[in-house]
Amino acid sequence: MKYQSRVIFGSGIIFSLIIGWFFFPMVLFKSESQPLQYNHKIHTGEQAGISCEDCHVIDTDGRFHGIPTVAKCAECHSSQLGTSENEKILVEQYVLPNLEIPWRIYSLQPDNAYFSHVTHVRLGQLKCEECHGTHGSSEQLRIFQVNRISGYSRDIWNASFSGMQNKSREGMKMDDCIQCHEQRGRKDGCIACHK
Amino acid sequence: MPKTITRRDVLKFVGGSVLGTFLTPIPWKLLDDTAIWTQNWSLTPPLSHGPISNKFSVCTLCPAGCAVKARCVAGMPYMLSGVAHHPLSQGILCPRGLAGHHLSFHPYRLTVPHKFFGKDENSRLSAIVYDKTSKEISKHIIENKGSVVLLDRQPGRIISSIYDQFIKNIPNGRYVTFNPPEESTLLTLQKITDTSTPLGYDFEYTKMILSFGTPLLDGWGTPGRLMKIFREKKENGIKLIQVEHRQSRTALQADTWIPVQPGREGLFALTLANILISEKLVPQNIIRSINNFQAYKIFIEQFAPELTCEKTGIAAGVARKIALELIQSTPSIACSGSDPGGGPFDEQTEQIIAELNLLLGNVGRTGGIVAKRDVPGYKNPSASHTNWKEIPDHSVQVLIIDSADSGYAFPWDIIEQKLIPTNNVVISLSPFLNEIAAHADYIIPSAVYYETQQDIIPSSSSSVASFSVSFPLNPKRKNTIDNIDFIKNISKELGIPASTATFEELLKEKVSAIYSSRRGLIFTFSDGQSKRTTEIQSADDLWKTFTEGATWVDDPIPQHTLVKFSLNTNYSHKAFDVGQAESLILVPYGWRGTVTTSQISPIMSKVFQESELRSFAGTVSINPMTASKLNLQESDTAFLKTEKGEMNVRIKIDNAVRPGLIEAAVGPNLNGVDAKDELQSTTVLDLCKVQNNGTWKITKATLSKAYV
Repeated sequence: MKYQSRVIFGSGIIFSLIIGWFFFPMVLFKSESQPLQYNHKIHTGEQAGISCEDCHVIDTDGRFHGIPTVAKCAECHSSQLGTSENEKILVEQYVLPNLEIPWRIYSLQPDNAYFSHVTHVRLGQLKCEECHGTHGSSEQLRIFQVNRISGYSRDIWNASFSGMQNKSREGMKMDDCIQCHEQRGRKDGCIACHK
Repeated sequence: MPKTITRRDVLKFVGGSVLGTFLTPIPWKLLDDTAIWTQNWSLTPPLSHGPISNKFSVCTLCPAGCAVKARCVAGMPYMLSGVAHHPLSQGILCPRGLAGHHLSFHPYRLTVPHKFFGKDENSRLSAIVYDKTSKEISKHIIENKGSVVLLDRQPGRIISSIYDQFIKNIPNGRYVTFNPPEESTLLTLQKITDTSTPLGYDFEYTKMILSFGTPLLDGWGTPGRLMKIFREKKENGIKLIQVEHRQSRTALQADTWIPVQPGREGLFALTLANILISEKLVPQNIIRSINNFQAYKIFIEQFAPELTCEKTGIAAGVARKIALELIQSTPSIACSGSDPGGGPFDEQTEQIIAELNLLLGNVGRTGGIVAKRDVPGYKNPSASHTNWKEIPDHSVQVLIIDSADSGYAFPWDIIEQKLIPTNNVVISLSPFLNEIAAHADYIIPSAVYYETQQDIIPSSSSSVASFSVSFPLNPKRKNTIDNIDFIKNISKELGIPASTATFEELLKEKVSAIYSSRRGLIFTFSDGQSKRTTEIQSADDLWKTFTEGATWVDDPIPQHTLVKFSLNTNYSHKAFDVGQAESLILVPYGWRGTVTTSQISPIMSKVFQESELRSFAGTVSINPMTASKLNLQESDTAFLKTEKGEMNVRIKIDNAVRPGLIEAAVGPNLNGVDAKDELQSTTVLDLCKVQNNGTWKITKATLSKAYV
């Protein structure tokens, strides 16, 4: 009898764990596809030989251009370079009408956080991969997941959902910024990021 | 035999589920995401995302002409900063200038025409259709039986000449200006010496500044210019003597603070004049220039320091020391420039201070008060226009008030005393529902700062003429009406001629005049370099340079000392009586731009409130002795009463305040969302008595503990 009670109680715990760890993320995050697929590997590999900074430009005055505009794509893709569906979408829907591609940005920080790429890349000597992992050599873009409550990308909180990092680059929340700064002996006040 | 599920089993399962939930991310993630969600409420303006770019413009919050570099995302400015090496602002922007781009989103912003229905406390503000409004306004102008006045508080701009032309075509129409308080000494000197030549302060080469309440180090003039001069004081040897009744920020930073009794600044200046003459410190060449020296010498004897020290509160020895320093540290400048909240000095005090400059030989010499030229294509605005003070009381029936806001307090009483008591019509062109607009019948909102082109002729204090154009950073709102278009519409309704030129065409005319003059230097914002105007190939090229961010600065001109002048001998001791010693005196004060609601970002006023960097509106500071006498303590709520009204205030006890004075902060305000209620509540300015001479520096008051 006592054993049976424990089983029922334990079933309740297991039920919650399944709901919490399996179904809750499915409900919390909305999946959105990118407007077209992009192959970083082709562009950065031997075939095209482009470096990260060729497209994700940091100006001489320190401005980071983020995701390149369609004008940058048009430098090479003013007309179709191949027969793939993505190439057709790029040229017909964006390059020719000169419309910006509404990319879903995995690492977009909230408006109240100021992040300077030039400070981290030039002064901090961080490599792109230390924050963005193998994204620069990926063959296709992942499904973009957005938090239904906060509106932020899942990548900001942590893709693994447990909040526990497997790799240093996982998670881009304030705690992660603080941890990284502490590791490097940086002591910054609130105003360094929240200007 | 299968066991039936009992109520107890369900409860155990639920209990296990609840416990299990805490081992999942559900509660923690929901808590976290809800916290993040609260940062994204609808009141928070969303930022655009897009390419980052830099744009250049010029701040138009005041006539200082500070250059602005705007960092923009998707074309929208999100951060403003100064432009390094700019000849006027020296790379510096004041705090309200740094947040100037917020003002497009100010909670008091109006983007469609409005009308107040009714003139009592139950008046109702409603949005109205513009076409109908311009017809109504025109009808009021046609039916007017008094006079039609257009009040311009920032004369000298292109729009000012358009106003002038417009009002000349209206029967009983008058274009009226309100002299910028920063120029008071200069304008008074122009009047005394009967010259129309514009004057400026040559601070860069002066050795001593005797400032009568001028907030030189607290946002006055072009703040970057003065900051640079005083930052380099070890090299340039400049000294500052601040004559002021309160320990302002300028007084704190000055070399010497002379804590004169309020209202006796003019008497102290006369005391200095007495010492200069009686101790034979005035140079002979100056004495020879004074037409009525013998009469003045006899007249000034009554202002010996021993006779005035009781009233001024300044010991005779201190006054003598200051007079001696003034003579030893030439060239010097004596300037007045009233507190932005406390209002201007009366004309008599202004004249005494201006005459002190004549006695010291400061006028027409390098390092003193220098003559300068007008900007090509412009005419010195102060020379010919009617001043607001000259308008007879209760004579104005229709009043149009331009949108320019000098950042100085402007009590409604000043306007009200000129209006016909009944059936008057006030039209405000302000883009904000600010203190003045809240009293208007019609509000025709113009475009706000950084939404439209504007010419800037910083005339207030600079030693040479300069010119800049402010280009838009934010898109213009759909239903706002540019002042030039308002004038064109009304002219059309009234059937009077109006220029068909666009504002840009008029701006280009001015730029063309500068090009043709071949004078001065052009400073370009993007590279921080200056070149001669003669190096520019054409007027079109010069215009293009301005569109990319530039300032034109004139060359200095040779200075000539004044040939002959007369000094006033009609001042009397009686004029400096400010009241009985036993009564409390209310003296308002403020910081430029924060004394009106429409010049300061609501975000910044929150910072003020939380940091106490500046005392908030409704805070009064009193001496501990005064507090003890009135049984008041720090942070008490007290009841401030004058003959004009009463209000609750928060007490701040400060040793630096003179016993018997109530120093009241006019701003900054809270700038909450409920604009109408806030604007209709009583403010310190409402309690101040505006004198016939247009001043409100001193008002008798009572203060008592409020039991709430």
